[in-house]
Amino acid sequence: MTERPGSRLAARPLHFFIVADCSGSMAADGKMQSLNNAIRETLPHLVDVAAQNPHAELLVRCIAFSSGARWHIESPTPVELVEWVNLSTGGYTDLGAALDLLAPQLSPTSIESRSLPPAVLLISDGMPTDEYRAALGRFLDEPMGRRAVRMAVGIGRDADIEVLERFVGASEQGVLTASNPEQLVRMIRWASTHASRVASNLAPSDSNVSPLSEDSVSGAGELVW
Amino acid sequence: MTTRSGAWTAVVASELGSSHERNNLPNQDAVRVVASRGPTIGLVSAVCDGHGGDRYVRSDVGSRIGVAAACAAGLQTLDVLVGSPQPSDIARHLAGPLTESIVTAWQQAVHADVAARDFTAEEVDRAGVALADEPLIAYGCTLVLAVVAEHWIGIVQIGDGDVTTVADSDVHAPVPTDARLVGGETTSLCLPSAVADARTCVLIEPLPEALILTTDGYANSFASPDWRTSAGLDLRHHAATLGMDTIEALLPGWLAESAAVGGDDVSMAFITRLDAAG
Repeated sequence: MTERPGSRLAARPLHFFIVADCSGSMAADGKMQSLNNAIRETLPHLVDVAAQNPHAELLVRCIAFSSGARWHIESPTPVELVEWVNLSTGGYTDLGAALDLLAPQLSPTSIESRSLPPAVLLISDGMPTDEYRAALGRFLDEPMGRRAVRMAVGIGRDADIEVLERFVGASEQGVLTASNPEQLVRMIRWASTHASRVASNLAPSDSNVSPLSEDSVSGAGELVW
Repeated sequence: MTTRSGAWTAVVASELGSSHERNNLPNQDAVRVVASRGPTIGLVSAVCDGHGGDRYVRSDVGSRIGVAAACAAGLQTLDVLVGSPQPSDIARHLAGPLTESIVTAWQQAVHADVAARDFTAEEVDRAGVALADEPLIAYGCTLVLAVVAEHWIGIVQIGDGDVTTVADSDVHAPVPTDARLVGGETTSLCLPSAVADARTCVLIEPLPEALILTTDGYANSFASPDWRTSAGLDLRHHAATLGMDTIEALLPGWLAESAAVGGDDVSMAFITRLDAAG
């Protein structure tokens, strides 16, 4: 049998970034606990998405932002290997710092040219406390930033929906809101799996499926946030 | 079957990507090679890659139109540039009349196709926009064309895809890069700027022993960014030892491996002077 020309073949990297608000306000009303639970519940669903798209290798990273921003998961980690460590709260809402931490990872010198467009999920319960607009511009200046499948989940009534809309851009279903723990689980799960599905699709189709029609939850808990 | 003209032999293949197969999408690539029947010995080969997204509901058709238009124009180029044309004359012809005639022929063929069969309600629904307003977009695809004569090679590229040359142990990418082609963004035959977006190059003697045209699904299936070197050298070796008739039989299987792992459609035109069977 003649060997196939060329070196090793491999699925294409699909980088999935969770950008999570860890400001002090996230401590109130159990929001951070709910967020940790929601992400932990979502991971098996992302493993399923990855299994359905074997041409894409789903690699997870997470940025936590409060007063400044830091990597919560810094190394691109295959989704099936992610062991979620709880995020903790305290400080301001420096979204700009988070975007400035993220943008260099999407530069052509950092991300593989064969990568699929990344997926970025932003989760926040408040208004940015730093100059995030310029950082958003720098993020969107990166070709992979512009091409990224961007989703956002606003938690509670104080979430700045305009900011989240600015982040997701023209995406029709890019901003979801959650007013209680059950909704948060549902929104995080839907946003994550939707973004990963879209990003892994080589012929993207803008699904018209909404989180509510896809996964209607009867008896959702009472509004708490 | 292999295509031969003078010292050159070519084989082509195209395989459906596993992602497209899972989504019940057609192969949106197209590939073609034709030998000159005119005064200049040589052959012409083209690969096209349909954009595939929902907006591009007929990009598989656009690709087929693209390789037909490009090969027809390439054959005319062989007829025009007879004898031993100067490299500067070849370059001017590639960037000017050849590219212009390809884009014009592609647009005319697309308009004819639309006139023959209107966009269906299902296509409009899938695209999410009024397709009839900008019909060319629905057929969008990239193009890589090689016009291979005895003593020179001309290449025209619009959008992504790869051209690889091999000479002894040297492997090169001769087409100028386009910094705009990152993150899956590409120029296209369907854009008003298609002619201006074309990148061209002329290869003169000593010509490479092998020339490989591929859609981007091939490169993207390799783990290493240096895929070109090993693939180029291996193909050259196989041509010299196995012969092109054997490679023709094996090529679909090789490309199918790339299409299965990388997910995208994969197409290749492999052209060489090193045919062990020749």
